[in-house]
Amino acid sequence: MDVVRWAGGEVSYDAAILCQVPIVRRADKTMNRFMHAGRMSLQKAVRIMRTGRHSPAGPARPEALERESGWVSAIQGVAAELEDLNRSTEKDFLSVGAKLMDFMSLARQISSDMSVLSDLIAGERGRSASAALVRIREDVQQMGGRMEQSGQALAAIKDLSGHVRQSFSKLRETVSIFRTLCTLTRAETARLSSDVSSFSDLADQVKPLSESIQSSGERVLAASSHLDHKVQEALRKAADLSAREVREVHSLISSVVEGLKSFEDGQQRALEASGRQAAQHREVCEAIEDLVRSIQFHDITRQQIEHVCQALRQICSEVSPGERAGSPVQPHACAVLTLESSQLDGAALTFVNSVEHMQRDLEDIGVRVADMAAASKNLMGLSEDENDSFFLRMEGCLTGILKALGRCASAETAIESTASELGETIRGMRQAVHEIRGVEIQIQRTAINANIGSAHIGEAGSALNVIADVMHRVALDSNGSTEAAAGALDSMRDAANCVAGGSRLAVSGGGAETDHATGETRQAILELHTSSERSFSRLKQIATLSAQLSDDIRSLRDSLSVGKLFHEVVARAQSELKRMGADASPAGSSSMPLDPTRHIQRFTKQYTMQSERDVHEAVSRGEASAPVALAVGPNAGTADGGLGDNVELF
Amino acid sequence: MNEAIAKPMIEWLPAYAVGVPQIDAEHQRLFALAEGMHQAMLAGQGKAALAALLADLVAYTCYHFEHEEQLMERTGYPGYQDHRKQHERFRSQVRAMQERAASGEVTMTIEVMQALIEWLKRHIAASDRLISDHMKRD
Repeated sequence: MDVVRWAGGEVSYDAAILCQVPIVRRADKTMNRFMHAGRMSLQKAVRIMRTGRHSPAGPARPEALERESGWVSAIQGVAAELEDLNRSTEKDFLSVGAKLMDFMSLARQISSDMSVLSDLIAGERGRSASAALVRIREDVQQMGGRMEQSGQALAAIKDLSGHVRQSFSKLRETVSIFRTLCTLTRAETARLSSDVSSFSDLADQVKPLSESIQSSGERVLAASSHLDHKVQEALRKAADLSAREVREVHSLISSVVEGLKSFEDGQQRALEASGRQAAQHREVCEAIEDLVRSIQFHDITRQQIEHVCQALRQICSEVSPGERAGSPVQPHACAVLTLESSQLDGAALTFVNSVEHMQRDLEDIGVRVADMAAASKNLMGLSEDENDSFFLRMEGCLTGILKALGRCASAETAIESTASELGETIRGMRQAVHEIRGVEIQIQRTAINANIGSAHIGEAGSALNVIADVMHRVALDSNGSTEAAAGALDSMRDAANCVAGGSRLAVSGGGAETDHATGETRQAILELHTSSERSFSRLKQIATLSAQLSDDIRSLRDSLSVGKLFHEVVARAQSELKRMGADASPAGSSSMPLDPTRHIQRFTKQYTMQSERDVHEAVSRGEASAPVALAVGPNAGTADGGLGDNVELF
Repeated sequence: MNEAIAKPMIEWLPAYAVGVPQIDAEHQRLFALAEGMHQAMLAGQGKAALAALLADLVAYTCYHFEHEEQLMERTGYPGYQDHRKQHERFRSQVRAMQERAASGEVTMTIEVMQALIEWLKRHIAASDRLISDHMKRD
């Protein structure tokens, strides 16, 4: 008998070829396909898994089984059940394979979204947003400075207004004294004119002067009263506006500083997260690749089952119809059954490990995806209460800044209007003061003329001289007050300009520049908001994709029910094959010159695909009795049930 | 881009169906509005799309709520009053938002979107399903 020698002994060629050759051929094809697939992308590999394989075994044929009887029928039943199992697991694993590309794409999409988000927060866009916030803070602080300036100017106007009021407080009394002095002058000149004709001219001058003093005094008093009223009104209005503005400006600065701080915190978190995110994505991809590997393990298992089925069906096909009913299992068939039972044992172990790996991998991917989603949420400091999210707070802050900017602009316009009204009133007052100055000069001139006239007439003019001296002194006093009022009015004019300038940045170049700065601030806020809304939507997208991926993974993991079914079917098949093998090889059958069962049992203990390939190569070379050194090493199988040298994966 | 990623972020699901085609179509329309706004915001065009969205929402709250309320009345839905109050609150919320937008407040897209998502999640996916359950029982 031709034998194949190997490390564990020798086995008949018939049995070896019967059992192994189809397996070897298929195993080689499998290896080639996987190795080829390894050179291709994952996508192509999955496509091969989806479409490239075929199931040579046909559907179960229970009606045929019913017609059969005896051990042949039993073997056919086992084969049919194993084929059903293969189809069932094939379906499940195809479903897993089909999902893998989606998982990978989703993971890639999430990673890409997170990159965009990181860029929005910490990248170039984030830096622009941060710079915009800094600029807004500076603008608002400048606005605060202007408000402060307006407030100080208004306080100065209030003080100056008091000085003006004080200056004109004795004007009524002064006018009255002047009028009395004018009357006395006219009476005295009338008395003296009978002796000195030139005094009639003085009397003519005094009369309109008295009237002029009266009307100018009344105008000045009316203007003073109006100014006082206006100043009080302006002060009230401006003080109210200023207080509100100052409050709002302070609130604005706080909001911007808070927004800036949150933003900087977010940037810091984004920087920290960006490194983790790349690692997480890599880990998810690795976990998916592990899953692909587990599926490849399964493919080998599936083929082992397929080969077992073929071997079993071949045994049946070699039994003539006459031998089927009631005859015992033939010895060479018994050897095959033992070997196939052993094959099933290995396949079952591999399959269980494969499914366990897959479940672990799926679990792992799920955890990593959840981590990624959590990282993205933490990135933006999202709280459980989404109504209090960072984005809504940020949006509220930006809206508040814009509204306050608008209100400040209105307040500034109102203050400007008030300052303008004040300026108008001050101009009126200055005109009145100018008139008073003219009257005072005229009075002094009249007093001088009276002094000169009285000096000419000697003792008779002493009374007129006294009147002229008093007139001169009162005019000087009045002029002192008038000049004080004029000085106060000049200061008020400057202060009013400061109020207007404070609101419109007159100091640094005028209203147009301020409007431009406000426009820039507004634009910066709008851009910042755009960045914020993009981040918000991107984060929503990441959350949705992560949830979708988690759900898909969970449902896939839950749908992996084949492990139990596989175990049950294989255990049943093994039991059946062992029972038939035991029935056919009673004790004492070792009297055969070469007991194939014994050798095959030893062979299967150290079975590897490499050994299959060696047998196949020996057969292909036509070596009738060539020794085949089967590569049986310590790595033939692994203690944890892994495939070890049984598979060669890319 | 594969099918999974092409899916809308804010998607109407058959589980939300009330069973009345017109109402379901109107719900789907609202989901489409939200998805459109989401896409606009992703592209940084949220503020430009805000006015149109709010106008659509105001119109939606008029005709859709009316249809839904008629349905509840016809079917004798026991939670009618509560449901109507929810409609009224959302209607007021949407109008207030529209007024704010009309007054020049444009930095409110996130708030609008958040309100819309909350509405989809809490009302359509939850409260409206109770109407469906009631109709199925009867």
